[in-house]
Amino acid sequence: MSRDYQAFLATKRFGYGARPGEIAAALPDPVASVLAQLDGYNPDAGPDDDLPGQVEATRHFFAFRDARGDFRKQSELKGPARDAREKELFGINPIYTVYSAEVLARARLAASSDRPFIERLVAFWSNHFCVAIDSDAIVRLLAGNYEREAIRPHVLGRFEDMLLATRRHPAMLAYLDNDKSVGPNSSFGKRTGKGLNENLARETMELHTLGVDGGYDQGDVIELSRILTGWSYEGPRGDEPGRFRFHPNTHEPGIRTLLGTSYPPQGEEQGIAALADLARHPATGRFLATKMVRHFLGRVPDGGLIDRLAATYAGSDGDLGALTRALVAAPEMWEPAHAVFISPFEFLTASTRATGLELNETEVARVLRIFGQVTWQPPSPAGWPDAPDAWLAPDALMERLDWAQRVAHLVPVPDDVDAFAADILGAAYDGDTRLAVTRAETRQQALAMLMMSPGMQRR
Amino acid sequence: MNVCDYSRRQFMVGTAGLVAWAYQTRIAAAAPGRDPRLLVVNLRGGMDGLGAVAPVGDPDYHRLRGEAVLSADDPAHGLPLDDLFVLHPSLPTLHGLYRDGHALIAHAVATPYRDRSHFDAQDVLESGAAAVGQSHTGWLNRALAALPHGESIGASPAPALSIGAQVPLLLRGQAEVMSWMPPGFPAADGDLRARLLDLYRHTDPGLLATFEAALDLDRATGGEMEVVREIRAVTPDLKGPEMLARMTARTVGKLMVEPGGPRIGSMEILGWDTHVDGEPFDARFVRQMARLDRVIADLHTNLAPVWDQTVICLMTEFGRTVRYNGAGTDHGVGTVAILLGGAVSGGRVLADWPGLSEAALFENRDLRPTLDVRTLFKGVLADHLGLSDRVLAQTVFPDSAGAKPVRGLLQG
Repeated sequence: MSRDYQAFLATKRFGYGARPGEIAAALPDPVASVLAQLDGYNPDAGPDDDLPGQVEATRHFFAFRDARGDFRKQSELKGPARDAREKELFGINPIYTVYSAEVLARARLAASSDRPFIERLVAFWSNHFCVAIDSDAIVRLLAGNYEREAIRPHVLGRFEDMLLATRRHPAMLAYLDNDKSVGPNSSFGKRTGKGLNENLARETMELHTLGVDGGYDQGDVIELSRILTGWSYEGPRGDEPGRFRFHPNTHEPGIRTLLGTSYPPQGEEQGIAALADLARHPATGRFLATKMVRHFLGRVPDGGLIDRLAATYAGSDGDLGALTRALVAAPEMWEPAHAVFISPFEFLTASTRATGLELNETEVARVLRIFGQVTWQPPSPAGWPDAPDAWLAPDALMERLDWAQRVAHLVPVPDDVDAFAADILGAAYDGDTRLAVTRAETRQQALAMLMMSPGMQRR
Repeated sequence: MNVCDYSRRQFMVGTAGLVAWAYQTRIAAAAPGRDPRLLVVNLRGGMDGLGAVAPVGDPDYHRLRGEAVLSADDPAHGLPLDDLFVLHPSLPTLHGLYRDGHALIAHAVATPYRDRSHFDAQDVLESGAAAVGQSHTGWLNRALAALPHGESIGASPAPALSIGAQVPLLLRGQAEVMSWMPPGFPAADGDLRARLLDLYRHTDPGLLATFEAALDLDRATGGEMEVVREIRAVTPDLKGPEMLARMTARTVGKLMVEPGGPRIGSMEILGWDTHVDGEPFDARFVRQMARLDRVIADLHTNLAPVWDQTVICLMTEFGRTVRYNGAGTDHGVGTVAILLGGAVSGGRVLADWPGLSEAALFENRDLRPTLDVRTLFKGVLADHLGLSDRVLAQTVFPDSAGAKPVRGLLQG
C-alpha cells in the first residue's frame, strides 16, 4: 500500500475529504495524521454557534405551544389568516428554528474542522444511538442537543458513559417511548392501569449493546424494560422542563434478573447497574468493534481484527478512545478497498471542504433532503445503513450530478483545476480522472467532473 | 406527554411526492397472458373518509356534521354513489370511474391499529404487521419477494438498490427497489452527462451501471424537465405540492406502461391532516380533493394502454373524528380505502356500515371500523398477483390468518 494512497485514505476513510493542503500534510505519516486528531481533543468542544441547552429549548417550546394553544381557543380566525396571525404573534415554532440551526452548525463544523475524524466519530455514534425527528416534537427540538451533549463528549470516553447519557436524554426517551412506559405495579401503574413499553429496552440490547445475536431473549427485554421504568424527563410544569428525571412513582418495584444477573430494587441505581453490565458484556465489545470496522472500511476483513479490537475494548473497560486508536492503527483498515459510496452528508461535507462552498440553512436542508438523508431522520432505530452501496441508486446519483453542476457555478473555481484536483484527491486522482478534468470544456465543468469522480464519491 | 401528532403534522405539509417501485417486470405468478400492474397510493396524514365519501343516507351524519355536509341533491354539493353514500363534488374523475365500474370504495375500514399517532399508524399500515414496531420491512416488498424475479428496466441493471431514505416502509425489504423523486436541482447538461458516463466507463463499473440506469430512467420518464414542460403546457403556473404530485403520477404512469418497466409501485400524496380548514367546503379540503382527482386523472391517462390490467389502491393511515373541532377534524380511526383500475370490479361501495349513532361510534368520537384494510390488500394480492392465502397470512401480513382476503374485488 503506497503512502500516497494512505494519505488520501487518511482524509477520506477517516475524515470528510481533504481541504486544500491536507493530503500533502498527511503524506509524511498518514496513520499519525489521523491519530494526532485524537490527541488533546476537548470533549466539551462542539459547534461555536449559539445553540440552546435542553432546558432552555424545551422551556421555550412549551411556552410557545401554550401561548399558541390559548390563542387558538379564543381566536375567530381560520386557515391561512390564522396561521399568518400566529406567525406575527409567536414567530416560528422553535422546533423548526432550533433544529435548522443545529443542522447548519453540525454541517459547518464538519466542513471546517481540523479534526474531521472526530466529526466522523460523532456522526458514527450518533447514528449508532440514533433518534428520529419525525417521531415526536421533542425529538426534533432536541436532536442536535442530544448529539452535542449525549454523544459528542463521550466519543473518546467510556462507552458506558455514552450508553447512560443517551438513555437519560429526552430525545432518546421520547423517540423510543420510555417516557410512556409505566411499571404495572408502580403506584402510578396501579392507579391508571398503564403498562410497559418495551421499545427502549429492546433496542438497547438489539441495536445499542449486545447485538441481535448477543444472547438475550424476550424475557430479558421485559426485565430491562421494567428496570428502565421511571426514566423520563420533566414536563411543562417541572422546574427544569426537558431535564432527565427518575420518577419513582412509575418505576416497577422489585428484584430483576437480566441475563442471569440479579439486580436488587434500588430505583434508578438498578438501571445504572444493569446498563454498566451491558456495556461490559463481551458481546457488546464484539458488536461495537464489528460495527466500527464495517462503517469505516465498508467490510469486515478476515483474520483476527475483530478479536483484537474486542480484546482492546474489554481490556480498557470499554474505553472508546483505546478502541478507536486500535482501529486506526490496524493495518487492515488501510487496505485499498475504495469501495464505499459515500453518504449524502459525507458528499455535502467533502464538497464543502474541497471548494469552500458557503453553507446556509436553506441549502443544507435542501441538499440533504433531495439526496435522501434528512439530518437525524433515519428510517428506523437501526439508523442509516452502513452497507458499501447503500446509497448508490440511479436517481440519487443523478441528483448528485445536478448539484455538482450547480456548485461549480456557485464557488470560485481555481485557475489551475488540474493542480487543485491533485491537491484534493491525491493518489485517487488517477489518469482517467485527470484526463476527464483537464479535457473539460470549462473550469466549471472540470470541477463538476472532479466532484463526481470515483475518488470523490467513494472512500 | 403527547406532542407527537403535532410534529408529524407540521412535518408532512412540506414533504415532496415520492414514487418507488420494484426492480421487476413480468409477474410470473399471475394468470397466463396477463401482465398485471399494482400501484399503491399512500394518502399520508389521515384522510377524512366522511368528508370524501359521505353517508348522506345516515340521519346521524346530518346530526354530527350539520354545519357542513355533502348532499346528493346538487352536483356542487356531492356526486351520488348509491342510496347511502355521496362522493365529494371535487372528485369528478373518480366519480366517472365509479360509474364505469372501475372504482370500488370500501368504507369504515382501518388497520388493526386503534390509537391515533400518524407515526405509529403509518408504521402499521405500511409494515402490514398487527401492531407498531414489529417489522422494519413493508408488506408490498414482502409480496414482491414472494413473487419470482423478473428483469430490470433498461439494458444494464444496477446492483442492489434499496435505500431506506428514499423508499417508504411499504416497499422496504429484501426485494430490490428503486425510487424517483421530482427533480431537486436543474438537470446537468447533456455534455456533462456524456463525459461522466465516459469517465465511469474507464474507472468504476459500479458507478457506470448505476449511472446508465439513471440515464435509462431519465429516458423512460421522458426526462425531468420534459415532465415539467408537458404538465405546464396543460396547466401553466402549476407549482408546489400539486406539481410534485402530478409529476409523480405522470412518471409512475409512464414507467408502468413501459414493456420493460416496473409492475408494482407506490406513490404518496401528502396534506391530509386537516385539523384546520378541514370541513368539506373549506378551501384547503377542496384543494386536497381536487388535487387527488387530478392525480387520478393523470394516472388514468398515462396508464390507459394497460388500464384493464391495472389496480390502484388508495389508502390512508386513519380517518378523522366524526365531529368537527371548530375548524376541521382530528385524528380518528375508521376511514375509506379505494380501489381503481380496469381490473377492478367496481361501481359499488363495500361497507358493513356501522352507523353514526352515539352507541355505534368508536370511543364516542370515531367511525367504527368494520373492515380490516389488510383483507382488501390480501384480496388484491391474491386475485391480481396470484399470491397464495398461506403466503399472505404468514409472510405478507404476519399472523393475519383471521383476516381473510376479500374475494371478488376484481373482474372475472
